[in-house]
Amino acid sequence: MIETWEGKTFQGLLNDFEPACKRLLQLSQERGILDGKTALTMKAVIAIYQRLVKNVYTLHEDKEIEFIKEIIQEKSMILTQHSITAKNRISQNAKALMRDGMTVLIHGHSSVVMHTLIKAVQRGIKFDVVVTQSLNHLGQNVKKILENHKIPTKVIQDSAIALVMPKVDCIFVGCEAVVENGGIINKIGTFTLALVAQTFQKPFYVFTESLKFMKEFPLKQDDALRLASNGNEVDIENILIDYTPPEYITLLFTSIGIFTPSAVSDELIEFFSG
Amino acid sequence: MEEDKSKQNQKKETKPKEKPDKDVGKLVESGKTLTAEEKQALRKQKKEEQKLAKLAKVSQKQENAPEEEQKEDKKEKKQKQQQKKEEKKAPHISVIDSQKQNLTNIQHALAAPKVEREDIKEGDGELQSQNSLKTPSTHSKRSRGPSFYQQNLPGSEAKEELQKVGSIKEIALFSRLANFKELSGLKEKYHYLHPKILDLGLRIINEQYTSSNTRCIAMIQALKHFISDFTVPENKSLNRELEEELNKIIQFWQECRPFSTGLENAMRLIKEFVSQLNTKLTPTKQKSMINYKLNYIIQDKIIEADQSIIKKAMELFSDQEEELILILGGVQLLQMIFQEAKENNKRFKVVVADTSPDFEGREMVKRLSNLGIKCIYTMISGVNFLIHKVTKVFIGASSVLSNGAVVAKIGTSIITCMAARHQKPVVVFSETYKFSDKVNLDAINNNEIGDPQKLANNQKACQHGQGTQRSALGDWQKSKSLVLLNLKYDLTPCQNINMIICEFGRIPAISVPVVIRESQRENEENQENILDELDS
Repeated sequence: MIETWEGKTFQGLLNDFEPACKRLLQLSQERGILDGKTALTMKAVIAIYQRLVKNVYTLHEDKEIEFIKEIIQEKSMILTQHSITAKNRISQNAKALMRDGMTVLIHGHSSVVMHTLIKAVQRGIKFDVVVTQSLNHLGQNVKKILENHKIPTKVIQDSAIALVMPKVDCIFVGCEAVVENGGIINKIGTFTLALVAQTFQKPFYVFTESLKFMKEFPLKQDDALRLASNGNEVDIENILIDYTPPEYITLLFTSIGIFTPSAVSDELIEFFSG
Repeated sequence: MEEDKSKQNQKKETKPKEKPDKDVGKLVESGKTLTAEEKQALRKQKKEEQKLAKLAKVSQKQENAPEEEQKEDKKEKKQKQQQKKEEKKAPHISVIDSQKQNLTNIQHALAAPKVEREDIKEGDGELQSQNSLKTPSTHSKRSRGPSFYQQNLPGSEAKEELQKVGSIKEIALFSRLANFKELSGLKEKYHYLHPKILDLGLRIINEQYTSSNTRCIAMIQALKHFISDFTVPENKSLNRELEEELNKIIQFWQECRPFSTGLENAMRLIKEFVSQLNTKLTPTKQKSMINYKLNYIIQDKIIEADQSIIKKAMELFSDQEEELILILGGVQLLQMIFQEAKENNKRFKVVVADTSPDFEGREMVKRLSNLGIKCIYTMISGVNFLIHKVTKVFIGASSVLSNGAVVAKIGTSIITCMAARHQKPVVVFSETYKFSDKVNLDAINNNEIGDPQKLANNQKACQHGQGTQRSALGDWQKSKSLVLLNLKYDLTPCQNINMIICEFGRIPAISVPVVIRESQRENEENQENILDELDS
């Protein structure tokens, strides 16, 4: 997914760049490749890409345009490569986490989490998975995929998370975006899950590519919702995402290492100011 | 409603000035008005020396006294009360405007608030003078040591000693802090310093610079004057000599009032720069380099930083709903933010919580309501009734420590505790030059003790002009079992802070160390840049 639409942005030099990005956002929304998710991830990636191009530009300001283009292309290739290998690296990072006989609770359909679980099974670790039903019976799909890989899976209702929590060892979720204070924006229900997890003192792990880091700082749930809806009025009957504050997150497993929530802002400040 | 309140406050504030006291006669006799500290010094001199000596002193002070003081003749004051009320509004605005204007204007603008501050001080001075008649040296220097040891002494002896030494009582826990003391001797002790430096020192004692930003700018301006007048002895290098002088100046200012972290950082920057100067250059060249650096600090670290903080703060105002923002006391940066928000047509109200004994919030409410901003004024004890309606809490920090804790005006800790209890977001505003790599676990270290007399002053009596019995606590200095503690700062732990806004952007409290690292790197780069630029 990332591959295809990043290829298109090469044309743009700094001035053309912004409209191109906006166009891209629009296109992706129209074509429905978002698959029921919001455009937040896209936004985050674009911001990072823009920053990268700018960095290149300031570094080689006096060089010829052709040369700059070349470097940008090179950088983009690295970025694309990074996003492809990210899943592997994340599951590598999470290796130590998986133990025999543990029960994992997952929420939503996150490709990174699935990848990690499947890799663990392939290494011969035996564990159970509990998955929430979630919107549109997504849980059933997840169950099918996991059972194909011979992972025993149970689907529970969303409202039963408090009930199963004592039996669960840890919680895995993916996310759509990581914000500056280390909080995450993810499928609705994540915050509820995190709250219950904290009450039962269960570790709450987030799996994400580092490309999803975002330079935004929501103070309340409303801020996060507005962020996702591009500043439009938020319809409370039809919300897809929520915001989980950093104090409920134990660790973030990313493609560039294992982070505590507070380390996210360090990374972001360094990237966007350096 | 709110405006009415602020008007009332205005009246209350002006009243103490009107009060004609017995003492006025004495002061008029001496021909002119002086600042409160000078007056007290004068009074002490009276007791110690003969009239001749006093006259000599007056003449000496005449030379040093700034021009503005002479305007403020007591007799004139009574006639011009009405005028002054109007004048009072003007200088504040000019201070803020000046930040946007050129640096050269700043010195001028800073002089402005002095005028209006002075008359308030004079009121105080009178009050103190009466008191000092009863108990000769109310607060003067005293050798360190917890005072409660003295309580073991027989009563009469203890009393004698108290009167002899003239004591501010100390609390054992806070005995490490520099005590509030009468600073009359300072001017004589440091008479060899540049007049601008001395003048500023006296203004600092008079608490004319409540905002540490204005204090910092004023200090740097004074340093600029000093450096341009500085002459190097022959066969000696400029930066060595200058370093020594700077140390003396900083020591003097610190004795006037302890430095806040921001000031410490700024002075350290200057000293480092001076020590790294290329000694082969001519003195004039070196001076111009220092000048350049000083301008850079004012412009870049304070004014530009404030501007970018204000810009970032605008994002905090929601477009959908009306914000109700809680602040504590008067903070210049916050005022600028509200002003900008008003200009951008943001919908918001401000709750100004205030603390005794300084009541900085009154000034703030007055200025905000003059700008057309809706305000609610309350004491800190009333915040509990408003906190559930508040949408955000804004804090102006005095310094930010590397563990994410924030040192701010006393009372902040209470407010943030309450905000955290009610799940209200707390946002701290601070320039990065106030970030410190130190870690404090409590508010006892690096605190500052204010005038304990202020706590004892009877507010009601002052307001109604019955100045006879001003101390509500009576002769508290003589009471063995009563100790007054007037602290100026407190510490808010990082768990209670949701966001810090500095010129680097919005950061969570926990990542302060990153900002410190980044800004240090930037400083070093800048240092090299200046040196390179001016070398070539």
